[in-house]
Amino acid sequence: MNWLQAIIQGILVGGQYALFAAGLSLMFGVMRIVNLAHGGLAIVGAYLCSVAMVGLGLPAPLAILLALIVMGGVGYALQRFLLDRTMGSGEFVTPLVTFALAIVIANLLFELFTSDVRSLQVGGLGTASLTITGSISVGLIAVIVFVLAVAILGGVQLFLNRTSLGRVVRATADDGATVRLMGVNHRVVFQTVTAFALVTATIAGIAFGIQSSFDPNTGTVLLLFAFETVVIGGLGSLWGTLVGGVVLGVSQTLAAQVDVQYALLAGHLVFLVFLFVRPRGIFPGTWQG
Amino acid sequence: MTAPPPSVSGDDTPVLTAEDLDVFYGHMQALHAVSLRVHQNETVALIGANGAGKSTLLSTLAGAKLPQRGTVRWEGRDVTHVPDHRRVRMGVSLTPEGRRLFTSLTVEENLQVGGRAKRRGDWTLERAYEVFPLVAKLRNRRADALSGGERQAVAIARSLMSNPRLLLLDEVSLGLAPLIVDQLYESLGAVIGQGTSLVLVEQDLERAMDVCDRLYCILEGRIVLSGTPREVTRDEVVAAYFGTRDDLRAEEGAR
Repeated sequence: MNWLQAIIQGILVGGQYALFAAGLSLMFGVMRIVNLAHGGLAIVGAYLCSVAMVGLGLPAPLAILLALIVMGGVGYALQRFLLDRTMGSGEFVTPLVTFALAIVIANLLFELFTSDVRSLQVGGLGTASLTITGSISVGLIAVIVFVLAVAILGGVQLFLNRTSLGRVVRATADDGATVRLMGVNHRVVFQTVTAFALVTATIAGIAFGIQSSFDPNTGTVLLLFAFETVVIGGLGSLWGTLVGGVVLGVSQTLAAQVDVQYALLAGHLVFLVFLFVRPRGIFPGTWQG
Repeated sequence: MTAPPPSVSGDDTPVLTAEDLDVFYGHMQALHAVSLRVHQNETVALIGANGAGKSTLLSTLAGAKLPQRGTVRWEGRDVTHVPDHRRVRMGVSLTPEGRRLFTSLTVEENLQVGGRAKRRGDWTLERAYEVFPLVAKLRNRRADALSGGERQAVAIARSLMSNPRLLLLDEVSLGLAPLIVDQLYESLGAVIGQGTSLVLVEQDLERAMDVCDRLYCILEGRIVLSGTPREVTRDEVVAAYFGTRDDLRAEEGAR
């Protein structure tokens, strides 16, 4: 029964990873930007939420909303004032700039909040559990995060495939210069996508902060998981991202059944196996679906 | 006062005028003091060799390229610094060189994105399919699975979806089989002389002189010849194309 519990938990953890990876995948799909600051920005979102709750004394829902709005604005500004300028300067400039940004973020967080580990206390939500059968129970928050991940990834996929604005986003991903000739400012599309990507990163960061603890360097680890998720699932496929997260999560929890210290190693090994055997992921092709 | 002679090419106030355009790519000057006008309902052909600056001129008229000097006027207004995505909404639509379809989208989705400018007019999906039967057959096909001629037909239909007052068509028939080119021009019959102005780049000289009301020959970034197809001879145009015009004149003078 422990193994079944491990698999179920792995699937739920996979939802968390997929949530982290969604924004990374979206930014790559639309703008070909590899955002190495994605994990760091997710953790900034968690710190914002923490400050709003502890520092300002706001109730959790309000603090979360505030963090989401601020991080959406950060995403807009990041694209408009930084990434837009780097995108035309050769393919290595943007990854370098986002790498630098990740370092700056980690150090700023260290200056502001020290290296103390903190977590987000949301009433009893962090510890509440759901009992499935007599011997199997899962954390309520993990279930909520998984459902959120499915809803967000599915929602984005539906938006892209079924709506007129989604069509414009796909067209922009294909050819940003030509979409301008159709009356669409491709920079506005880019800014919106980055804003949305950071909102999903913040949701993931806050969800992580409720279930676990974080410090200024947590972003690096999260970025690694997000990357592995995207590569396993297939670059740019949103449903693939979910499957990738689940594969990563389940391999970690199964290995933990043998010995807890093998969990992360197993995840990385599965990732490496995929790189060798199926380098384009489970669902290759474009994220346009 | 005698009334101005009625012209086949529409009324006399130009919808678009370009004056003294200088356009650069880095340090290389692509256009030198280029001036041009397009009247309502008029079809203008741009003729010139590869690299003469035709596509650059179209891009500048569409707002995708900024001139260093000179002005572009649209319906009397200075639009030199109005960017391309806003110029589409004003009624200037460019079908770019290389067709540039959205390859992961279907043909129909390409047309729908073309209609994003949301200008009023009679170009709808139905009309586009009616005028371009070739496109209608492909509506559910992905754009990266099309032949060159099919791509061009979709690209032109996509441009028309914005209901332009001026359509800028780059390299209409480049690399296409004659039969396909015939079909394209047959479809363009629904545009030419029907109220929309047209500037087209056409390598096929016969075709260009046959279809246009007026033509401009561009040589190394300069307009070297312009007029109606009646005013200029085919030899003059060929000479302007190859840059041998001065030689011709010298010969004429010697005779």
